[in-house]
Amino acid sequence: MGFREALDSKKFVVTAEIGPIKGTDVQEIMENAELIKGKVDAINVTDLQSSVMRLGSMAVCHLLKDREIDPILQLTCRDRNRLALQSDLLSAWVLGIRNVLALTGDHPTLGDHPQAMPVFDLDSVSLLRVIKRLNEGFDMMGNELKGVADFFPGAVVNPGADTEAAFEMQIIKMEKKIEAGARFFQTQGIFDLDLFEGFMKRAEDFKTPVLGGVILLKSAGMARFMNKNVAGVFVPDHLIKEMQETKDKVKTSIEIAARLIKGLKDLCEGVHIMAIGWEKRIPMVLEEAGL
Amino acid sequence: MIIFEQKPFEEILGYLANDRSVFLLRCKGCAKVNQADAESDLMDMKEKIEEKGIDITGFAIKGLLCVKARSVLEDLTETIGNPSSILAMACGLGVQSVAEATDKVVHPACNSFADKESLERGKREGRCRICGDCVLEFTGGICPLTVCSKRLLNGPCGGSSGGKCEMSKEIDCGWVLIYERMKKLDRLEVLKAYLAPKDYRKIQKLT
Repeated sequence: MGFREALDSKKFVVTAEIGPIKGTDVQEIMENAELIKGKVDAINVTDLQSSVMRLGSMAVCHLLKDREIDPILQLTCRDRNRLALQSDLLSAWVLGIRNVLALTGDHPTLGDHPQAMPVFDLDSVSLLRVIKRLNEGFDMMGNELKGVADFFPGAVVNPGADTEAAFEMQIIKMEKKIEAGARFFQTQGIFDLDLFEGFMKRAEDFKTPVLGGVILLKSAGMARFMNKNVAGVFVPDHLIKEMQETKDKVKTSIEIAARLIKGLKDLCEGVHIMAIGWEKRIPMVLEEAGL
Repeated sequence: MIIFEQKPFEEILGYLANDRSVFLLRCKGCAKVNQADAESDLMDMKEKIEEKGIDITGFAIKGLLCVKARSVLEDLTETIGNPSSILAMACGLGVQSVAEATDKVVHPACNSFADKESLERGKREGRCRICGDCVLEFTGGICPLTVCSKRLLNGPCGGSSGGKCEMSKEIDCGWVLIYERMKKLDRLEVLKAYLAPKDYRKIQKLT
């Protein structure tokens, strides 16, 4: 069963995420992917995450497909103009990639090539419209395609946006994304289930599946770093304390993630696990969460 | 200098759909452009809008709206009346300055284009990309092309934090500014409008 079918089946869906390395050595990420194969419904492959130059998402998605893992191609507007975005989408389809996550992308100044030209020719909403148009058999100028794609498009939303304005704009933009064709959402990492419940009360009306983001905490330091530097991520003090005081960081990290997943089960349609280097621990998290 | 051209009247009429009355403010134009037709532009607009049953509370032609909007509006306090909105027949700089100087809704009546000299001015002001397809109507008179680090047209990215941009805590999140402005104007519904990608053939005239 692929990702799309899993969502249609109304089961609680699990996706994970892997970030390609800087270089050509794919051995480790492929081993990690094999470890979680069969335990998740799809694997996202990030697109130059944090604006750091790396191996591309499309190539790794293709390798996953070869291993019979359903990939979700993350596609940002940061580096490609409308010609390249459409061409890459056609290429991805030809390589067997069926799911696409449309994102804005981090600003290049945050990465390791801060001098780069920020493209942002399209935004995540117009990119979703383009995907819809390609599915209908046309490019964004209305030119007919020979051979048509049938992508399953998704988008992201940040339920933890920290000002009223940013939060309300997330809701407004979410609605625009659905109108533009988004069929599922994956969220930024969630650590406060009450806050997330508040978000879901607003998002419920949209009747579009939401996969709540779960980040594996590696240490108290990582939690503090994210609180300071990652927009929309807020790790409450009691979780930081738990990580600080534990003798077994891995065990505690897995327990925290499993608790969050259990909580999310009642609130949304699935979870999206961001292990950030700890991919091989995802099976333990799922087992602990009873999935 | 920025050359401005009136938007199609139907588009302007759409902007005025919920307004009972409007005040018309025409920029006098820069030294060499948009000056000759100021009066006839204004009278044509007045007539067309009145035909559609919308009251004109008044009208004025004023120079240098781009830099003097605040004092211009102060001078006009008596004549402006209490319109639902102001229709600014000016370039993108003029519209933004007027929008900044009033709590009223300010509709842009024009699209802006570059001429050689405007290139310098646009760079200096940094507020108008002279994109040839003005969207200030939908963003509370604050330009997303210049206030958002990613030039996003349909809302913020996920990087907005504490009202600041992910690029730097020194930079305001443009979409937070736009949201606050639209909330104040009671026009949040308008933020749901889809804004299509820009036509870069027009923008590239700048370079």
